[in-house]
Amino acid sequence: MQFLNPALLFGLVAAGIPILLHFLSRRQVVEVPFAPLRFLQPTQEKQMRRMNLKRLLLLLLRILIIVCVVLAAARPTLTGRLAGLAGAGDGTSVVVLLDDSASMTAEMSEGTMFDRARDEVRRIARAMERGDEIAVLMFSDRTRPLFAEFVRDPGLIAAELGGVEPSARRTDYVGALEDALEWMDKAERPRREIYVVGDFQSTQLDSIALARWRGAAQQVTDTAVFLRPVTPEPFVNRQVDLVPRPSVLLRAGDTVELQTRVTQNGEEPIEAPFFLEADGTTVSETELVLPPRASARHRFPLTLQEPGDVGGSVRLRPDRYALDDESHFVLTVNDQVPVKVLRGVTGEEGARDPLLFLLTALDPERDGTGRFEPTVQLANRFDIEALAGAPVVLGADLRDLGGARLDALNDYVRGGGTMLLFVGDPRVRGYVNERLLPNWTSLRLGAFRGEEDVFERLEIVADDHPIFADLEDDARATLEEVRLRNFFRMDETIGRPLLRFAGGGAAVTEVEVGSGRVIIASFEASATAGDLPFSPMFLPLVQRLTGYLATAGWGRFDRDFEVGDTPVVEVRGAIDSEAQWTVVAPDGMRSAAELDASTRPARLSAPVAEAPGLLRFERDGRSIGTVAVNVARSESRRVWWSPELFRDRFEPEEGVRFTNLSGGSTDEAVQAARRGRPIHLWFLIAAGLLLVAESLLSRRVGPAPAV
Amino acid sequence: MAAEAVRMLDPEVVSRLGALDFVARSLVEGFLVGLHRSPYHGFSVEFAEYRQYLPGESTQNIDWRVYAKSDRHYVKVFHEETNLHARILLDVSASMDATPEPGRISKLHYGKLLAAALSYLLLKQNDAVALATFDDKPQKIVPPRSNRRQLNHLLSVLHHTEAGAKTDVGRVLDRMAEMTWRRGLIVIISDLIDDPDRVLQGLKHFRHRQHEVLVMHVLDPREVDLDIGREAKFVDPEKDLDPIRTQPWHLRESYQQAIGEWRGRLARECRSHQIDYVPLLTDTPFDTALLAYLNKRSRLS
Repeated sequence: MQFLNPALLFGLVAAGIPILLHFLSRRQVVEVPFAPLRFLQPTQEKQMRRMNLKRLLLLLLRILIIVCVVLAAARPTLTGRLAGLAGAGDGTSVVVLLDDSASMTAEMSEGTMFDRARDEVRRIARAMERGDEIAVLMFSDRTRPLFAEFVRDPGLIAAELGGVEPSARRTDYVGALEDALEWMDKAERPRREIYVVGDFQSTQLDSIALARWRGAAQQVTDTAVFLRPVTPEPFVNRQVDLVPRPSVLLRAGDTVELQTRVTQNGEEPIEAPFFLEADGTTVSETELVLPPRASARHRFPLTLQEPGDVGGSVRLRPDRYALDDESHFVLTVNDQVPVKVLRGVTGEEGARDPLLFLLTALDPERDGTGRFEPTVQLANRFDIEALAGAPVVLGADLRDLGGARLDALNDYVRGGGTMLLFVGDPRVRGYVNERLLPNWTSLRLGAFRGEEDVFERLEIVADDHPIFADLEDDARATLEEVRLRNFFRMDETIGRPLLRFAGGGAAVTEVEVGSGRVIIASFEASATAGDLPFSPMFLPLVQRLTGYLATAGWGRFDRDFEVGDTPVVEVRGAIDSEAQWTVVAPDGMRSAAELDASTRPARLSAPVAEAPGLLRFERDGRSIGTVAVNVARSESRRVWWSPELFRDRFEPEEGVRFTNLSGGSTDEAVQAARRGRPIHLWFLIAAGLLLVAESLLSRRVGPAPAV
Repeated sequence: MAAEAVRMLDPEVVSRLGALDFVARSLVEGFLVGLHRSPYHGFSVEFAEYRQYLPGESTQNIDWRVYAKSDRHYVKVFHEETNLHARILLDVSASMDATPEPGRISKLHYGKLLAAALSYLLLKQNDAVALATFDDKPQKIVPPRSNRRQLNHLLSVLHHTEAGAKTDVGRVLDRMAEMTWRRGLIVIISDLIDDPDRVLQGLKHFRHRQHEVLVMHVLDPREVDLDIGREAKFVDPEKDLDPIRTQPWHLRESYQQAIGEWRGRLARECRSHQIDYVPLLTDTPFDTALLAYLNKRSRLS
C-alpha cells in the first residue's frame, strides 16, 4: 500500500488523543462525598466491570476512527499484487526504457549510473501488479530488448538484468521512444505505460525525427510516458576531445603536430598527465594544466615513418567517466597523389592564367616532388579512360567539354570520384550553369561581381569542416583578410557552403553527387580574382581542398567512427575473390569483414563497433587500413535535461502524456504514476461504520466524561 | 446572639409559619388547655388576637359572634394553647454535612433551619421545646423550656452546632428513648443513614413509650436521583466504606431502585407504627416543605 500524501500520515499522532483523553479523564475525577454510599456499592462492581469493557471498546473505536480518517486523507492506494488481488482491472502493459548509453558508465560512489538505473528498473518491475506484463528495452542509439516478448514475472526481469552492461553508444531518445511505442503493438493489456529510466543526458535532437515522433505519439491515446531520472553525483570530468585529422596530405617523413584539447568541468585547476600513443607505443608525455571549467590545448609532435595508416591515441588517466579520457585517431600517410587537372578553354595566359597559381600550389617546386602530382590536359581533349583511377580532378573555367567527356566526367563523379572546380570567368557561366552543374546539383552560379575596384572579403562558414577544423586562428584571420573580385555569388542554402563572401553568397560550396563529391569555387585562382593567389593561405587552401577530396579518409569513407557505427574502409585495386577479409578489434579479436564489391571502389565493413579503439582491416593477414572508433563526445556534456525539459521537447500536443516521476522512492513513483488502486474510500466507509458503532456504544456507555 | 438567632430564622419563613396552627395528633400529657383534643382542652387559655379564617382550617375556632356582627369569619388566637413537650432530635453526624454538589445546602443546615422553625412555632404556642443533637451518641442536650428565652438558647445552640462523627441512629434513638420519660412529641431530623432495622427499632422504642414521633427524613436530591453527570469518586463522609470510582449514570437506575425501596420501607414501617414520616429534600424550599407538612397536620387534626 502506498500513499499519495504520505506527509499526512503524521496525523496518526492524533490517534493518541482519545488515549490521552481517556487517561486524563481518569486522572481528573472529582471526589463526591456521598452519604448513601452503601446503596451504591452493590451495583457498582458488576456494572463497572461491564462498562470498563465498553469504555475500552469505545476507546478502540475512537482510535480506529481517527486512524481511518487520517489514512483516508493520506490517499492510500494499493499497488503491486495486492492491487491485483483487489481487482485493479485488467492489468497494464509496461515498457521500461533503460538508458545504457555511454554516459551511464560514469562511476558513482556505489556502482555506476547504469547500476543505479538497473536497480531502479528492478524496483519498477517489482512494483508491477498481478496481471501486468513488462518489457525492458535498453536504449542508446539503438534499443535492445531484454526479452523478445512481454513477460509477466518480475523475477525474470530482475535476474536477466544482472547480466547486462551499458554500451559506449550515444543516446537517441527519439529512436527509443519510437521503439517503445512500437513494442506496444504487442501489448495485450488495456493500459500502456512507458517508463524512461536514465540520466537524461542532453543530446542533439534531429528535428525531423522529433517531428516524426510527435506525429506518431499524438495519435496514441492509451499510452502514458513516465520519466524517472537517475540523479548523477557531481564530479570533475576531464575529457579528451577528438583529435582532428591534419587537413593536409601527409607523407612519410613528415612530422605532424597533433592538436589535442582537454577540457574539465571542475572549479579548480588540475594538473593532469597526458600521453600520446602511436602504434601501441607511448611516444610522448606531458603534464597538462587544466584551468577551471575550461580547455587546455597541447600539440603532440608525431613523425610519420612510412605510407599507410598510423593508429594512435591520446589519453588521460581515467576519471569517473573513463570513456572520454582517451581519443583514438588514424593518420593516413600517403604516397604522392596524382591530380588530373583540366584546363578550360578561356585562353588566358600569364598571371591571368587560372592554372598558373593552382599548379604552383599543388607542386610548389614544380619539380614533381610535391605532395601532389598534377597532370594537365585540355578540357575538351582529356583522356576519358584516365579519369577512372584519378583520386581527384581539378577543373578551371571548364567550357565546351563535348558530350562524351561531359558524360564521362559525370560518371566519374557519380561513381565516387571527386572534383575541385574553379569558375570565375563570366564567359563560362552559361555553360557551367546549363550543362555542367545541372548534372550534379541545383546550385548555380549567381550574380557576377566584376567591378575592377570592388573587393570583397571571404568568411569561413564551416568551422568544423575537416578542411578548417585544425586551422589556427592566425591562419583563419589571414584567410578572411583575402579580398576577391570577379566572382559569382552562389546560393548559400544549397550544398554545404565552406566559404562565403562578406557581402553575401557562397564562395566555396561542397556538394555530394552520387558516391562522389564536388567542391565549387565561384572565383578564379588567378590574379584577376584579387589578392587570393598572393595570400599565404592560398597554398594551404588549395592543398587542403585537394587533399580532402583526394584522400578517401576525408571523404565519405572517413577513418573516424563512433561506437555504434559500422566501420568501413575502401579497397582500391583489383578484388581477389579468394582473399580473406578480416577485421581486428581493439582487444585483438579477429572477425570476418564483409566485402561489398558492387561499389567502386569496393567497401569492406566490420561488424558494428561496440567499443572505442582502433580497428584494423586486413586482407590475407596484411593491413589494408585502420579506423579509429571513439565514443561520442556528446555523452561527455555532463548536462542533463530536467524531466520538465524532456517533456517539453518530446511530449506531443495531444496523445501520449509525459509525467515526471522524479523524487521519492520507486514504489512511490510507480504508485504515483499509476495512482494505484485508490482505497481511501474504503477507509472513509470504515470510519463511517466505526462512527456509527461508536455512537451506539457511547449512548450505552453514557455521555463522554468531561475533561 | 440575637443577630445569629434572627439569621437562623428567616423572617419570611417565620411569618408564614405564624399563620398556621400546629395541632398534635395524639393526646399528650399537660396541664394547659388549648386547641388540642385532650383531657385538658381549654385550660389556661389566654386570648391573644383575632385573625382572619383561612380556608382549610378547622372551623372549631371560628368566633361565630364576630361573624354575626361583621359577616366575616375570624378565628380566636390564644397565647397558651398547650404545654406540649416537644423534643427535637437533630442528627449532626458527618453524613448530614455531606453535599454531593458543592454550593448546595447541606442536610445538616437544612435540619438546623427546620429545627429552628419548629422551635419558634412550638415556643410561640408556649409548648416546651427541648433540643438534642447526636451523631453516634447524644452531643448537646437542651432541656425543655417554654419561655421566650428558650428560643434564643435553642437558636444559639443550633448555630454553634458542628458536624460530628459517625452515625449510629438506631443506638442513639434507643438511648434517648430511655432518657425521655415524659410523653410528648419527638421530632427526629435525620438522613437515617444507618442500618434500617436498628433505625426502625429506635423509632418504635419512642412509640413504645407513648411518644408522638415525627420523622423528618432529610436527603439531598442527588442522594435520591444520583443525577451526577460526571465520573466521580464517591467517598463515604463517615469513612466506613471504601470510596467508589464510577460513572454514576451507569448505576442510576439500580441505585434509584435501591434508595426507593429503602425510603419506601421506612415510610411503610413508620405508618404501621403511627409514626409520621416526612420525606424531605434539601432542594425543596425549606419553608414550603414545612408548610406542606403543617397543612397536612392541620387537616389530620
